[in-house]
Order: sequence, then C-alpha cells, then structure tokens
Amino acid sequence: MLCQKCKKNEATTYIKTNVNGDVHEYHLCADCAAELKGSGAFGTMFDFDNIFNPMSGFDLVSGLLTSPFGGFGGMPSIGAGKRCAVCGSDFSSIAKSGKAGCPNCYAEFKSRLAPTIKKIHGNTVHCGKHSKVTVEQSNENEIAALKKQLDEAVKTENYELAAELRDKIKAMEK
Amino acid sequence: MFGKNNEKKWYQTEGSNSDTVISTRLRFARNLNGYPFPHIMSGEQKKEVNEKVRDALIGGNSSLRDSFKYIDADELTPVQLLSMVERHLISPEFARNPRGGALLLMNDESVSIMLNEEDHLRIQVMGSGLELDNLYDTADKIDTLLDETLQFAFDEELGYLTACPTNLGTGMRASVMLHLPAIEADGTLRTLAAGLVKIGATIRGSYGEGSKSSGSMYQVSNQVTLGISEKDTISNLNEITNQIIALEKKSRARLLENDEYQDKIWRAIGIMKNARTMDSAEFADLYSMLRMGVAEGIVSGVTTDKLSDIYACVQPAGLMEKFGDNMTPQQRDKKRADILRKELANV
Repeated sequence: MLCQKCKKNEATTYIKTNVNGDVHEYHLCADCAAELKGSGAFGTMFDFDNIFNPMSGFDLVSGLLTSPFGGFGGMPSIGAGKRCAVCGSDFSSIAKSGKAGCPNCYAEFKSRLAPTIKKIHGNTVHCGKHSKVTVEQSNENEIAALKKQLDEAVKTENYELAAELRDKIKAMEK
Repeated sequence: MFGKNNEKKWYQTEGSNSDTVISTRLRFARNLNGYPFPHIMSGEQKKEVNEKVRDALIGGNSSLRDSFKYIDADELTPVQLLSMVERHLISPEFARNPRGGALLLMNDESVSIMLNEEDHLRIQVMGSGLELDNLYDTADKIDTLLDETLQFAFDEELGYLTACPTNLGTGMRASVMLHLPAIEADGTLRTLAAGLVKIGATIRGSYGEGSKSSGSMYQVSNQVTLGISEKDTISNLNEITNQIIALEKKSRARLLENDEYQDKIWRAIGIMKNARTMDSAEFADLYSMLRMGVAEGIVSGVTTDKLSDIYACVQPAGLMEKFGDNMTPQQRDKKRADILRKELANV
C-alpha cells in the first residue's frame, strides 16, 4: 500500500486516532510519519518521544489538570459578567482556576463548560452509582408522570389502565 | 498521637500478589449542594461542612461511632501532616494547605475521609493487596451511609459534581501501587505507559499527581470517570494490573538469570546491613533491590510484609514523629541506618 500523504513510498506506519469517537486511520511512509511527528499534527497523543517516558505522559495530563478550562480564557466571552447564583463565580474565574466554583456552576455555565468536559471524558453521560437524592427525585418525577396518565385514563374511561396505573403509583409511593 | 493505638494497621498485613503489589487505594470525590467548592470557601463554611459530614458519619447512634476519629487539620503539626502523607492517609496537597480541613480516620487507618481538600469529601479506602473489589464495597457502603443524610451534588448527565471536571461522573479514582524494578530496568515499562494512556489509565510516581517514582514504585490508576461505571472501571484496572504483574514476573525471571543482577541485590543487602548513615533516596533504591530479592525467594530471613512495615518506619516524617520533631536530616539518616541494621540482622 502506498503512503496516503505523498502517494510515492510504501506505507510502513499505521496510525489510528480516536478523538471523542471520531476515528481516523492513516497509512504513512516513514518520512511522512516523521514529518507529522515533527509538526505535532496529532497533538500530545502522538508525541512519539514523550509518550515513551511514563513521567512525561503524566506531565501532559497534569498540565491539563491544572487548568482544563485554560484554553478558553482568550475566547470572546458570550454572556460575560454572568455570575453563578449560588457562589458568585463568573466564567473567567472558573477558566483561570480550572475548577468550578460550586456544584451549581455546572448548570449555570453548562454550554460553556460542555466542550471542556467533552475534551476530558469524551462525548458521554454518567453511568454507575446514583446519589439517593436524585433517585428519590426521579421517582417523584415518575410518579407525577404516572398521575397525569391516570387522570387521562379516568377521563377517557379506560378503567382497566387506570387501575393498573393506580397500583403502580401506590407501589412506588411506599 | 497515633502510636498509642495498638490495632494492627492495614499496611502491616500481607495482601495478595505481595511480590509486586504494594497496596491498593480507591477514593470517591463527593460534594455537598449549596456550598462553594473548598478553593473559594470561607472558614465558616468549611467548618459547617466538616461538622455536617462528621455528624452524618459518627454522630448520634451511628454504628461507626467508635470506629472513626475526627481530626481537625488545623491542630496537626507539620510533622504529623507529613507523616500522614507518607502513610497515604492524606494527599500532599492537603498537607500543604490544611487550613479549615479535617480528617475522619478509621482506627486501623484503612479508611480516611479528607474534608475540604479539593472537594468537600474525599472518601479513601486502602488495602495491602490487589483487592479493588473489596475496597469498592467498603467505600460504597460508607458513601451510601453518608448519602442518607447529606445532600450530595449530583446531576443525571454529569454524575457526581466535583470541583475539577476531571473527576466528574463516578468521582472514583482507583489505584494500585506496584513494585516494578524489572520492567523499569529493561524498558518495558516505557512502552507500557504509552499504551495505558490510550486505554484511559495512567502510571505515575508513588505519591500520585506530580510525584516522581522512587525505588521503582509506580501507581497505576484509571483516568476517565465519566461514562464508565465503577464496576467496569475496576474490572478494567484489575485486568491491566494483572497484565503488568505478568510482564514484571517474566522480566524478573529473565533478569535474575543474570549473575550481575543478582550481585546487585546482595550488594544492596550488604550496604543496608552495615551502613552507619543512609539518606532516603539511597534507601529507596536499596530497598527496591532487597524487596525484589525477598519476593523472588533469593533472600530469606524477612517477609515482604515486614519489609513494608520497615519502609513506613524509616520515612523522614515517620522517624521524626517517633524520635522527635527537631531531628536534623543527618540525625534521621543515622537513625534510619540504625533501624535497618537492627531489623535486617537475620537477613
């Protein structure tokens, strides 16, 4: 197979990148691979020299850890001056410290934090343990929805469904 | 302050895979709704959070009332703080900035809950072998108990909300401390580290973030916390760790066929049994050789279990806590050599 870049030499290097599920594959010759390495086209993920040093691999990550929002500091600020209702933080202070001001900041600055969170964890949502508080909350939401359906069933005189819903609600309210 | 407690500490018991696994740790980051994160909290707010968590864990008729003690970080001396870092009870970051923080410490020191470090709570559980599943069960129980009375900050999409977005989701970091002298020596570790990054794990020095490896001790941990469940994270890490252990064992067998390498182990023992003064850097290197010799059955007269105990005893702050806060480094080096000569007499 010929190198995908120069289309002259035989491809000897295979590179696969996966950025948030966006997968690319490259077949390159040694020269083009070396050139890419020099240009840093693959970012820190494919910093061939550094990646073989365990501590530098870590440093790359820790650099990210110190201020994951740092890269956004220079962006034109949309809605500048907006502050979190709970802790009073604005987006620039979050970007500077790399830390949210309080739990509510994640809701308050949701759209502006989303790209960074995606960058760190990929395009994904939480799975695993849930806090009891929200389990209760989601239960309550579900009960409210069922009650609505029950009203509807009674209105349309669908008593079989209504009885079923009533039992379900009863069980959940226990 | 902790020496009075005669209960056996977790690190004084031998765990599974003790030839390569030094210890295992697992922590949950949790925060309370309605409070800023610790880096912008007032002293008053920190106090409120400390008290809320303390009461939730050991207040009233809690079954854990007698199992934990509450320690105000402001009341700890710098030496006590450092000694706790050496025992991995608190993070170096917490020791640097203890103001307003607190600690809920289980009597056998296997559970330590840091209050107002980077997050409101860092529930940390430690064990001596490769026992991530057991540690998870313990941490999960404590977390569930606290969740009954505390209002944890949680979002359906982002999971547990944490000060730093790198911990969002499960808020869980699981790590295994490994002794990897052979794959460090033959270069396998370097290639391995590259692979780990790609599958969401990292390998780094023994005291976590930003620390260097000393004495071939490395910490392998998960990096991603959002979108992967606790159970899956643990099973991945178990698999990775077992693969690393297998590589280390293979490399050890190869290295030990080499007389020169065996000679290095015996020389290390010679120095440790005879030196009159030894700094902690030299100790870390020699200890690594000795530990490998014992783990591979080349050296007898001491167990890896006992070695872990000695290791904890001769760390700088550990020595100062026991023999006096005002010890100079020279005095510590002398004391370290004294202890080693005594403890390794039968090796």
